[in-house]
Amino acid sequence: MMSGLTLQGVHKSFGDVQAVRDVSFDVAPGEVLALLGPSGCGKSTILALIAGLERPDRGKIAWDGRSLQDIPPHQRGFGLMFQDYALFPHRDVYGNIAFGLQMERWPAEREQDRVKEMLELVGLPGYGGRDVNTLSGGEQQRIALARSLAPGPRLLMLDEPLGALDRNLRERLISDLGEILRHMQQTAIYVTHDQEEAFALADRVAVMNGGRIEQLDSPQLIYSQPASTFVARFLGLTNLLEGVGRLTATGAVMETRAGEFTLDHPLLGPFTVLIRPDRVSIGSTGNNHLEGRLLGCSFRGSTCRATIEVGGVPLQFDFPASTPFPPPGGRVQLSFDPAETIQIFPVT
Amino acid sequence: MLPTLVVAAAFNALLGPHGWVNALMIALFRLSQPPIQFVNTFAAIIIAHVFYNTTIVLRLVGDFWAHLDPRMGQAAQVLGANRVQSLLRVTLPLLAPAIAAAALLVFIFDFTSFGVILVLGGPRYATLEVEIYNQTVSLFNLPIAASLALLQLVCTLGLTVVYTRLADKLARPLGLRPRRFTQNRLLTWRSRLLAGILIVLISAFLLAPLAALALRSFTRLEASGSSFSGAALQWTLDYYRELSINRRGSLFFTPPSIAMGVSLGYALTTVGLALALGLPASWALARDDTSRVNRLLDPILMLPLGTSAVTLGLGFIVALDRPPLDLRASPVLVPLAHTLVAFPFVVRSLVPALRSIRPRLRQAAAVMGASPRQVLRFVDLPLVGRALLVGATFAFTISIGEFGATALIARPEYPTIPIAIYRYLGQPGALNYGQAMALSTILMSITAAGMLAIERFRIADVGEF
Repeated sequence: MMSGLTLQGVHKSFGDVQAVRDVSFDVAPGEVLALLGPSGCGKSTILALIAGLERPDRGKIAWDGRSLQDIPPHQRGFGLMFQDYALFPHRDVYGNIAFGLQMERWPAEREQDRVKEMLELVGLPGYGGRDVNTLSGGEQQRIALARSLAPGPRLLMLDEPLGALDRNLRERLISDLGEILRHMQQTAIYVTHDQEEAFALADRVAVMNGGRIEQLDSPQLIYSQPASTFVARFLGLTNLLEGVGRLTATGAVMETRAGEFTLDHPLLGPFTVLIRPDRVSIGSTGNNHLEGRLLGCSFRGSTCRATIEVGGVPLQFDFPASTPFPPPGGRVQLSFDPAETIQIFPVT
Repeated sequence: MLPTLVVAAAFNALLGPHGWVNALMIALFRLSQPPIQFVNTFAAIIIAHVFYNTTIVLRLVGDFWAHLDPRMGQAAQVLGANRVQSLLRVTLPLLAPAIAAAALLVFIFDFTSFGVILVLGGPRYATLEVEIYNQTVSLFNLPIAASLALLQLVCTLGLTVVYTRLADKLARPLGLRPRRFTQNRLLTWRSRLLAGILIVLISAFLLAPLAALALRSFTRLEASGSSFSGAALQWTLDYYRELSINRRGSLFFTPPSIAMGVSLGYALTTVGLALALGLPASWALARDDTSRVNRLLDPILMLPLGTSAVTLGLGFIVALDRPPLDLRASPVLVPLAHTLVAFPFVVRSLVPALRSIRPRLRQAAAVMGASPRQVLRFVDLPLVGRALLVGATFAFTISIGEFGATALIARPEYPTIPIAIYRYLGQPGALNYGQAMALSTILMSITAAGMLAIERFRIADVGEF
């Protein structure tokens, strides 16, 4: 028997729009899964399907092997934290956090203890009597989190919980949230369009595109071996070139407008070639090197992102900030190890 | 929203034969007759109705104007229109539907006006409405009354349909903005002065009759024209004291204190009935405003708004006169009629509040384990609580001031406050007149309190009324 959440071949359409197409995955107890993708890719719909707010057209959603088909949302024992928090405007902080407990008819004393515990957990002790309409964005986010955690849901779903917050606050809350989820060993699904959030919080990440899952792997694998050009582009790996695989007298090569790369094993025909931006150094050592013209550099703190035109194609590379660059327009030699730097995708 | 009889009594207090103006003129010029013939004139009817409806126009057009995006006028001015051109070419056309809707609503209200005409118009100015009443109550000629009512019904229904269409149009194309975006400060002294004068004039017109009424109910004003000794003006609480005394020992006399009790009972019953019926109806309307059933339901629920009260009363008499539903003698009949009159107001207060509840909140509650019934109890009801209060106050105020339908169906031994006022106004003598004034003042205060309460409870910035 499968424990935890299972989705099998789930479809959902709204009119002509196929919001979710053949989605399957499972979430083991204690695991945090992130659904990562651009807006409109179907992530939030998946949450609504799991929560029971929408019904799938096809496919199976099960918990511990039992289908959730006919179980209404309020009997599923899941928690859902909405993107806009959906705090009840007519209840104070205490009333919001206690709502789920009151629905389960917890005794008054346990309810009070639990709310207090939750407020301490999210770092807002003593906030019980506050009016939710006067809280700041970060405080509302914490109260919404406390509210969805309070009844101890079997599964917590978070829908872009940090989406509406500014950058500094978001970074602080990412680490707080991660600590809380780990501390409570909370099974969770985290929906976001921000790869940093997904990588920081999740054990596994599902990258979604157009209602489908493109890749489901650990954050490390997703970043080091994106499964498709979509995933690569979404992660900000933009050095994608058209290439043709050939056999020459010296061995297998991949020809692109930026130059030729040697391959370990032969590939023939058209491909898309990804050149990773962070595994390239300046200099002419090694087998593979490229020569280009430096167009410009943008300083990013510890690194510098250089735009270098190679064979008429502008490519972007990250170097340590201390790298001595020629003045813009000057020529640069780049060397790299193809095994680490080059990744080849079939043309889609 | 003032009860028609209060308006009638107020104008009577100001301009009637025993009113302030006449009494003062008699005293000043030592006349033997009241110099101004106001009651039973066409002018009286018109002035009272203008008084009655100015607030409606102010409310409808003013509210719309106040929320009109000021950038439209600004855009016109940037494009070279001067203030007058911008008013004529941009603002007025934008306001046109609001003005038309207000005009129509005023027309409907006046077309079905009853109490004011009955009291101020006299026998010479019998409108359709008054005629239906006379045919029913005085002549017992139900067939004629019914055919007149039918005529009345066709006219008002047609107008109501046009009104709802216009109201729809009003709601659709313009992005109305909250007041804080549109608020305009009066910067120059001239504009402040102009606005000030305008406000004073309008307030004077609106407040003078009401002030006259209230003052009159506390004064003994004997215009002793025969002795030429001038008017004796005296503060008194006699009229209020007399309200509970049966001076003539009449068998059919019911003291006004009973009328107050009856009115209160009817009003409370109406509140209960109107909410019990209005809540589910509003619920259905708010759920899904695109479904065909609701598009049909909406105007039907609004029908009583355009139907005349007398026709409504007649309908009750005709429809509920034989078993199994013989309610003519039942005390429920009056609150039932009041409920029908108040219904559109209750629905109109509830629907926007119900619509404003974000579905997210219901979903959030459901995910946290709230069953549909618990969602209703813990999320929906607390959120619409204020709107419920508004609806209840509407029902109460309307019931307590309703005259047209009540005049037809109320049992003589259970008169309501407006009926009692009407009786006093119809009887000669300073004491009866004073008691009419006193009762009207009480009714006016209750209504004013109700309206103030509604203003306070109302949440939405852009109202539907």
